[in-house]
Amino acid sequence: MKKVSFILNGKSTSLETDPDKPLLWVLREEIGLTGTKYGCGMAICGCCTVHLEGDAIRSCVTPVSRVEGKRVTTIEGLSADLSHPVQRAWMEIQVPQCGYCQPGQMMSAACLLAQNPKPTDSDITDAMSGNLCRCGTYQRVRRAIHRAAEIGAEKGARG
Amino acid sequence: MKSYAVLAFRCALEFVGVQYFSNKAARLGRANDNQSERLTGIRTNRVTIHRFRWGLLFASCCVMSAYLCAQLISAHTAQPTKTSTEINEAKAIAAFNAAYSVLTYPRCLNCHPAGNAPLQGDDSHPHFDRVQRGEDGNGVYALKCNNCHQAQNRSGLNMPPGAPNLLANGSLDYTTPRWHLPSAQTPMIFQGRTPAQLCLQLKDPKQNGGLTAEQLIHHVSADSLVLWGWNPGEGRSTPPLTHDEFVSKVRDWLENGGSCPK
Repeated sequence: MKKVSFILNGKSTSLETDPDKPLLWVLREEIGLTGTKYGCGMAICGCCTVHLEGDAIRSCVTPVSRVEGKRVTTIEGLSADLSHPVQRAWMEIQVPQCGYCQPGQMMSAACLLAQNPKPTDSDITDAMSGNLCRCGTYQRVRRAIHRAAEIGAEKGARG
Repeated sequence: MKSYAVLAFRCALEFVGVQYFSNKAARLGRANDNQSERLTGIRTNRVTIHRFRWGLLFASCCVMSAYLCAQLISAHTAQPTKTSTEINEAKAIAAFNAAYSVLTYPRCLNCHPAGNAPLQGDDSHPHFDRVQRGEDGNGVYALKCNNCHQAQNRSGLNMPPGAPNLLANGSLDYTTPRWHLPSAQTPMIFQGRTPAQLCLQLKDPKQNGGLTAEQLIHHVSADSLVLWGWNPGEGRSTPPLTHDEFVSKVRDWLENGGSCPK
C-alpha cells in the first residue's frame, strides 16, 4: 500500500492504495465515481477512458501510481452543469442507446475537440476508432461531434 | 600439377636411394648374386635397369622444373591475398547480416512500419483500432500510444506491452511510458528494407535520428524500447539472437568499418 495523491476533477485527492491497482478500480471502488465503465479490461474497447493531463487514457490498464501529482478528469468532471459542448450535443442528438460505452465515447470526443476544434470526418475516424459500441451508434457519435464543434465555436464567438 | 611434382621428387629420391643401396649391395655381395642367379634361374639385365633409372631421373627433373616455373609465374600473376581492409569489410557485413535478423524481427519491425500505422503480432498485421503514427510518432487525438501502453508490461496474456521513459541522464522513469513510433519526418522504416537498404539507412544520420556510430551502439545497448524486445510480455516471441549477441553484432559491424551488404 502506498499513498497516492492527484487532482481529480479539479479537487485534490489522496488515498492509500496498491500503486499497481488500475486507476479504473480506484475511481469506481475506492472513490465511488462509477460513471467510468469497465469494458474489456485490456485497453481495447475504450469504455474506461478518462483524461490524464488532457490525454484520453484507458484507466483499466493504467496503474494508479502513474497519476501521482497529475490532473485526472472523469465523465463526472467534464462540466459541473452539463454545459460542456460534448454533453450538450450528446443530449441534443440523443446519441446513446444502451449507454454503456458512452462515457468513454464522450471523453474521447472531448479530447479530440480540445486538440482540433473543427474536426473533419477523417479526423473523427482517426480519433474515435478506439471506442467500440455494440449498439452501433457510430453515426450519431459522428454527428454529435460535428454538433459539439459548432456549439464550441458559438461559445467561443460569444466569448 | 603439385601432385605430379611430388611424384617426380619421390622418383628422384628413389633413384638416388636405389643407386646407393645397389652399389653397396654390389660391393658387399657380388659373389652371392651369382649364387642367387643359379638358385632362382633369373638373370637380370643390369644395363637395361641402369638406363631406365637414369631416364626416370631425367623425367623427374623435368617435371620438378616445370612445377617450379609454374610456381614462379603464378607468384607474379595471381590475385594478391585479402588485405586487412577486405577482411574487416567481410566481418562487418557478416555482423550486420546477423543483426538484420533481429532488426526485422516483429518485436523490432512492428514499430518501424513502412506505412503510418504501427503493426502487431508475429505476422505484423496493422494495429487494432486503426492506430496512427501522428506527426511526432506518439499517435493522434484519443489514440496516442501512451494512452494504453504503460511504463511496464501489464501482466496477463497479450496485455498492452510497456517500457519506461528514458531520462536525459540515462536513468529510467518507471512512472512515465516511452511507447512511440519514429516521427513522420524521420520514420526509420525497417519493414520491407533489404539488408543493403537498412544498413545504409542506419548509418545515415539524416535517417537515423542524427546518431553517430557510438550513439547507435549505445542506443541498441540501453534504450528501454530496444530492451523491451527481449522482455515483450506474455504471449510474444523474442528475436533470434540474445540482446548481448545483438549488441555484439552491431558493435562488430560498426567497429569493422560499418560496411554494408551489396
